[in-house]
Amino acid sequence: MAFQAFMLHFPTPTLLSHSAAMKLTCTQADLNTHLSLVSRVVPPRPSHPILANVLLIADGDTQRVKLTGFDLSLGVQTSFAAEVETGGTLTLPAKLFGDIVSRLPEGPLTLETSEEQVATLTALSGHYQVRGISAEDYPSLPLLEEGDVAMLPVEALLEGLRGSLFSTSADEAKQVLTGVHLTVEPESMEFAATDGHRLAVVQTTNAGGADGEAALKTGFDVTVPGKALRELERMVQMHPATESIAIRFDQGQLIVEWEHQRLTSRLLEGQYPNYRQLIPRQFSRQITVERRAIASALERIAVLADQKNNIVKMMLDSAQQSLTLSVDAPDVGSGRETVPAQISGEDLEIAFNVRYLLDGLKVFNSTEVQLQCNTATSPCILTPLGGTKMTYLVMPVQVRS
Amino acid sequence: MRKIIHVDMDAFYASVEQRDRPECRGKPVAVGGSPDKRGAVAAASYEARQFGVHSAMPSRTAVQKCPHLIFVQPRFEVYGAVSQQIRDIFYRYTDLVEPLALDEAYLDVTEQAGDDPSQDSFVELQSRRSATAIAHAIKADILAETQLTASAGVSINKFLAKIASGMDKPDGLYLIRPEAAEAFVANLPIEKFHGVGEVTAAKMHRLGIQTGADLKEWAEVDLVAAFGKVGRHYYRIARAIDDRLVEPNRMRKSIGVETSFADDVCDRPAMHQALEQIATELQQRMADKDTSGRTLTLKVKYADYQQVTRSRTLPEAIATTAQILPLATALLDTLLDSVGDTPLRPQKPVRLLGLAIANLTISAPSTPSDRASHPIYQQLTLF
Repeated sequence: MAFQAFMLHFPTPTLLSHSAAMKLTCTQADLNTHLSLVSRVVPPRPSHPILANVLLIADGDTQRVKLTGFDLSLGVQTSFAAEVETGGTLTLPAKLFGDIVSRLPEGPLTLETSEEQVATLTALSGHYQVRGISAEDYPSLPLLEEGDVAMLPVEALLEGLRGSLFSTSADEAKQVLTGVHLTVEPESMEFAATDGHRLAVVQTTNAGGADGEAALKTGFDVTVPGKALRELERMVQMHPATESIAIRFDQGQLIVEWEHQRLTSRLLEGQYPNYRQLIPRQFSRQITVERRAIASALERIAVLADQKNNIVKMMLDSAQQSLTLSVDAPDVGSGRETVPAQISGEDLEIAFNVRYLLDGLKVFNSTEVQLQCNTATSPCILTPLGGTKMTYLVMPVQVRS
Repeated sequence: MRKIIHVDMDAFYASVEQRDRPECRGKPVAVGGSPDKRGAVAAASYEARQFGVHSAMPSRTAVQKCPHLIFVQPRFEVYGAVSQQIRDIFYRYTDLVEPLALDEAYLDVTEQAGDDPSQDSFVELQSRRSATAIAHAIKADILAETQLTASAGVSINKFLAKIASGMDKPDGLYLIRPEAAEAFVANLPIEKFHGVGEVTAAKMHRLGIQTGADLKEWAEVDLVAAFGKVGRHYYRIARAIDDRLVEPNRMRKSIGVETSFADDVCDRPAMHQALEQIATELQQRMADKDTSGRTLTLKVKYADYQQVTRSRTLPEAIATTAQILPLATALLDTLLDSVGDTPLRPQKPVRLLGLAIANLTISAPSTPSDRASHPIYQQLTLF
């Protein structure tokens, strides 16, 4: 059904007729890196055979080769420079084609297609022929003519993704919790993710909307699948934009475009939890600790904790101004470390899943971390002191003997 | 031939309360939640039973049946202490004691009793007295030391001993002699067979099985075909055969966790959420006991006290929440789909959900000391 809808669009009409033979020369390195980028979104068991292919468009005017992978939900497009002798289009089986290209030696490659949709790949080591499918049937990525646009500096986007993605739920049954909730305001953007046990919220500042395009009148919010944003993070890291990245939304789609890359994703439907009300505003206990000290102690504690139930106990000692971390994995072993800390409030013993703590501490970029809590069974807030504007809430583990 | 005694305290909780509260003696007493709360009767005194009050009945219903019923809050710590007293008495007679609950146990007295179990004389021989005499002595000890009465059943296996203890309640002592066993079983109505519940009894009635004699007509293969593996057990008990041993320190057969809702729940997502919590706790309990099992049972109790269970057995051990939860959710959804949740047949309100894991894998027994020090960990959730 959805597939039919996409079939209405076709690849850009300025290109040569699909049946014309195509010929291009490029480097193995370029083809391989861009192919592996789009192959990641090609579904292993597609609903339609052509979706197991990548779309390859060689453009004689721009002298670029554009690759597309699409699973009808998530689409990725990237292009690289090549010598395009004759422009044309073809789709090739992503896995097969990718496996061959990745194993070819470095150096120039030529790719030619015949009228029968067979691609001939010639490298220094030899040549391969791979049967493709006409590009005519390949669905085109969604376009957004209307909708809202936010302009985000690359660094802000990466900070937002890095600080939130790890808290999404891995459980597909949890639908909206598998995504990151984006709240876009005229001047800022908030990234939030929660799996029900912890919540990560990152605030970033938008690029100045001087060009008028980013002038959002009102704020809006959407939930984007975590999978799409993980791909986006990877793509932005590999091919960073020199300027801001444009993020476009409408009710059902998100489109991110910069330079020669483009990612489209459907949005997750459903009411995202009202997470702001879950964050306590007042705390009876506050701890400031050096991030590296507590993170490396927890890494060592985790070696034992991972053997059983991932539980680390944390003891606040305000007299000693120290934080004691301990693990007791029955039948395996135990461990204990003490880290100096500035502590205000009464002593407390509180337990956590050590993985949740480490996940947050790893993305903090500050020298010091602040922990705030009230009791052993209420939310604990971790914040980097001076660094990303981030709030990380972790629910403790209740211990009952 | 073995000599097995089944001892069952008479209206245990209620009798303890009547013992400790003279004002309750001779009156209908129910131990359990009061009717204005959503309580249920945990135990009913014999006086209350005459009005049709029985355990597991909603307190509200109990009051309708018996308006002058006296409700008493349960004192489980007292029942536990009395139960320990009774067990200490059992151990004076044999080490082979298998407690089934606070108020009942099987005892194997083959070693201690005389050779002829049919010798139903109360002659007190110092060393070798009959099993019946031992049962009599146990009853007397219990009465003297706890001022409570028990009923005992004596026979050659657990199945018969358990039926025997129910024959002459309260303060009963009943012997099923080996040579009379088959005839006894043949005349027994099928619903009196221990292990044959309401559903199985109804199914047996439909198949024309009313008594043990009817059951005996059936070939083993046919019983297995009709009832599954347990058909083998039915085939044997119809012949008064039960080889199950009296197992002291019997291993735990299942681990279960349940949650009753403060308010009855009709909403499926809320039930799923509760299941998740239960599954996590169950996993924790299994991890603490270092065990896993292959059978997962879902228990649903509706607001009207109807209780339904659904089970599934997997070829591999179920040990993680990731294994428990999808299975539990599927069992619940199938159950809910089968009973309604349509505009015409709305979801019946549910008051309790539970999960239990059975068919446990054998694990090395942990020492009592580290079992005691094992706390329960529960990851708290945000919403």
